[in-house]
Amino acid sequence: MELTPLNESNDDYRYYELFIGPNHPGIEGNFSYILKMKGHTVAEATPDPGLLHRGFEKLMERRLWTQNLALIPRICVPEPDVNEVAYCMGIEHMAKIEVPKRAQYIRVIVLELARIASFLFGVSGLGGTTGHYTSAQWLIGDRDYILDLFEWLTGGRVYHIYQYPGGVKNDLPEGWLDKLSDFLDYMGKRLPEYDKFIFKNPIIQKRTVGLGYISADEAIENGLTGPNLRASGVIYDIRKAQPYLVYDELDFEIPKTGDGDAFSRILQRRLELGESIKILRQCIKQIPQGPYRTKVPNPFQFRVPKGSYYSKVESSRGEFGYYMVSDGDVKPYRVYVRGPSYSIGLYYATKALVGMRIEDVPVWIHTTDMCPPDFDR
Amino acid sequence: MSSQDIEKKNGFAPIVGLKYLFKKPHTVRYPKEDLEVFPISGNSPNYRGFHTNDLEKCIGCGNCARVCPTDAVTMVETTDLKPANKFAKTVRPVFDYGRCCFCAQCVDVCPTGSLQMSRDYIHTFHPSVSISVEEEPEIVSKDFIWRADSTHVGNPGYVRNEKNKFDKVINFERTAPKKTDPAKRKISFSKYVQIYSKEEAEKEASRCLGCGACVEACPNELHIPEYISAISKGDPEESLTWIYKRNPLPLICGEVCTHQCEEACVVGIQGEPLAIRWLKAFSASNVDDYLKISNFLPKSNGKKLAAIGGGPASLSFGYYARLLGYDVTIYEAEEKLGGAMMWGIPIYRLPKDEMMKDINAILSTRIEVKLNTKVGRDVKFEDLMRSYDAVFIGVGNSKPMTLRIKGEDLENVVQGLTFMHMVNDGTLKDLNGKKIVVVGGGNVAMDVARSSVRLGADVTIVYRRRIKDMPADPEEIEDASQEGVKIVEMGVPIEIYGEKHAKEFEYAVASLVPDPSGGRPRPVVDDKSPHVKISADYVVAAIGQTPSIDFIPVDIQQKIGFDGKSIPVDEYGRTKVKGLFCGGDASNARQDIISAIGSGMRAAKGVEVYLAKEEGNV
Repeated sequence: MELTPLNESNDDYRYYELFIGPNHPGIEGNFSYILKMKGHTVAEATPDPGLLHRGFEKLMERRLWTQNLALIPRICVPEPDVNEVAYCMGIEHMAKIEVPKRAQYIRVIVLELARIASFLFGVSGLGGTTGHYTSAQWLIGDRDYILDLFEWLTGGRVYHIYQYPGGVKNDLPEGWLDKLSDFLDYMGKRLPEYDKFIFKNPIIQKRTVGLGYISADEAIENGLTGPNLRASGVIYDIRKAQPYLVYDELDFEIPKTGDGDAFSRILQRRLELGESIKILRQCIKQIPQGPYRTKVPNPFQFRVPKGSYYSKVESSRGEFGYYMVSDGDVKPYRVYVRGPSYSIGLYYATKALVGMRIEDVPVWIHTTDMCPPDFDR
Repeated sequence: MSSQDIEKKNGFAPIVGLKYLFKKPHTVRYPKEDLEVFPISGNSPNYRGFHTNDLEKCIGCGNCARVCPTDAVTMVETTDLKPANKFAKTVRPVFDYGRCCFCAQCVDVCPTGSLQMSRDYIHTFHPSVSISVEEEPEIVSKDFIWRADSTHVGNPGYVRNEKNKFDKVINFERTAPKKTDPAKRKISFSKYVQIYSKEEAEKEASRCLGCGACVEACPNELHIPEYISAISKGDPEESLTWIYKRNPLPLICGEVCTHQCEEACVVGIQGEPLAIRWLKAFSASNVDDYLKISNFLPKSNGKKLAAIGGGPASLSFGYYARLLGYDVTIYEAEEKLGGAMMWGIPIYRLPKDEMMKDINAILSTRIEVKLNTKVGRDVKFEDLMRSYDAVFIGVGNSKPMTLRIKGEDLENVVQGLTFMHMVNDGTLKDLNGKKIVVVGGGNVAMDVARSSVRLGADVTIVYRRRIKDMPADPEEIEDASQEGVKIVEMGVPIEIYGEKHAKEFEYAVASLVPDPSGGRPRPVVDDKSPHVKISADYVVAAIGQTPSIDFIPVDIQQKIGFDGKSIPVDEYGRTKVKGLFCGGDASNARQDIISAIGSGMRAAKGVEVYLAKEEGNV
């Protein structure tokens, strides 16, 4: 019998398989990559989705249009509101429902608050993967102040179920905008501290600068959107490119970083956070009085006219789209959810992770701020 | 700070975090401390916690269970409840918190506002979690399944704001059909309520919750949610198909039904009920050819049935018996079909062409009609019994009740139905300047009063109770007073004066005494009651009628147990005589068209059962 030689020419010896996730602290959500490793270096990455088993799209076809409002926020836990808004905007477009100005402003407020909350949640995860746990606790603690505001506005902390076709469910409570203003002041004070504590921190910079470089062409070719795309120097934001709600009435800029590495991706998010605060301050000043919802038929008789529409919202991760088809009945015929992490987490990761060292993989995952439920919906 | 500043690496920068060593934490130590952000400490003011349900305000409509996306709500039977109204069911929602997702959609669709959510959320499960349902069913059901009562009622969270109309997911405002102006409509007999346009009908239909509370209230249990839903979908043909399953006179009912369904409509508890009747009229008037949608007509099975009377009961009996394969012959004493619908209802409410549209559709199923044939005069009742396999009596009420006061036998003192017959067949053409007193508060009284107004008369209705006690449709009462009909409440007729013609009418103003047995309060006239005399050229007594079945031989009359007011029948319209069926006003407590249709339909089924038994097939 001839023994297999234990040397470099034998593949079984050279490579080994490593599961990163679903119970690995470095992964986001209930998802895993099967990595083929050579020593410390990734030779091949295979995404392994399907652990969530949720079948949202199919479930939606069995439920009334408005019943789905309780289901769709669950597609994305860190930022559920984009789902609700995109879904409602799609219905409104197909059914030709006009949304009152006040409702549109409230939606912008909710979306921007959700963007801030999502940033805080995402970067806190980075704290976990770099061993920088204090920052994780700071950010999660600050995110709770946003959840308090949401709880007051909507009655729920995480799943708000607040949007409704034609507007929003309740008006802003009395004194809520004052509290929001207080929170923005607080965030304004906290931001320089984040900068010093996280972004200027030599440990964070050492781990992220130059990691996982994505060129502008590559980013476009692979369908990246949101901060991941903008960090590579491509300035594209749906809020500016195809303004929805009242974004065209608000004055804000798209910050530019453009190095394309992991650090510029989190920096891009940090700078956009500043813009979100600017938008919120304008909303507080500009929000008009008036109705906050257009009456639509009750849930049992709410029929959306025959047609289809792709509605999209700029989420904190990029373009969040809902492709909806209606056959004129009380239930959707088909709803397709296109989450922003789809392109980077499921597709581009197979290229990006190759050649990376194992300890950099969780950092890379967290700087792309991907959310596995986007593609495992 | 610009991006360049942030990017600059600085080993000393993180020291900024040290100061937080000496600051208070973000967290609150619950339950010692509570969040202080909200106007009230603890949870937010409209927190979506456990449900509360006012069990006596709740009517058990089940909309919460139907809208629940997680199927967490079950309706269970309850006992010892004081119902909110006579249509309230005895079931109440129960919440399974193992399934509930706290989305509050149940609260949004609650038409009574009884279901709310509280700020309570702590849901401790004290026995070991490993316990199985089989081992400890009581503990599990107590802790995981919530019988929503008043436990959390002192801590309201997500509730619907009554004042704020945007807060409501249900549309409470009715789309009223267009009506002609009272000044214009009182000079003409043309129809004054316009049938909904497509947009109006769809808008009104989209208010329906589809719970079916109306179905139980309807004497013939029509498929109301289904046909309204079809209208909302924009399909009047499908809607009419649903209606035809239990009502072959859709347009007539659409115009003049007593719409008990609307009283039961759950949307009406906090708002205006759906205009179910007008929606039916919309469906029926938007389908030109009923036969296109009506049921497949079977071949004749050779059995022959007779129906006496040409009103709604006989027509309905004839139609459904025909669908079962029988050959039906209708015997009508007058020159036209329709009975009370033809002669009793004024044409401004039910134009005759609309009525004939329904009737012709029924007749086109090959039902034989013998007009001007009065049973008892032209044909003998016994002959019918002998030559037909079964006989249906649908003669309605034609013997009017009398006022039992002095002067009733004067000329120009007429009965309501006689008066309406005169108006409808054209013998009474002009009442210009005449003074008319109508006694009664039912729909016939309203028809008499409003027809007289259209003929130019000055009309006073005298009713012995209050306006709100009147059995007539409130809409009719309102429309009548808009047209200038005067209504005297609590007027008890005393005497009619005059030599040959009626000249004056005297009534006493009664006082109302509560009925000890719990019925409507009774008007009582005593010595102190003031008496009022008004001049009257006509006095019309519209206080109800009883059936006249003189055509039936006395021995059979006794056999079926006729008591002078109604013919007793069972649930299939069977009388105590073999092969003799009865329906319509002659046997129904509710004397309206839809009950007549229902009894006709049930009698058709009864005939099927009876004949099958006769042949020994059962």
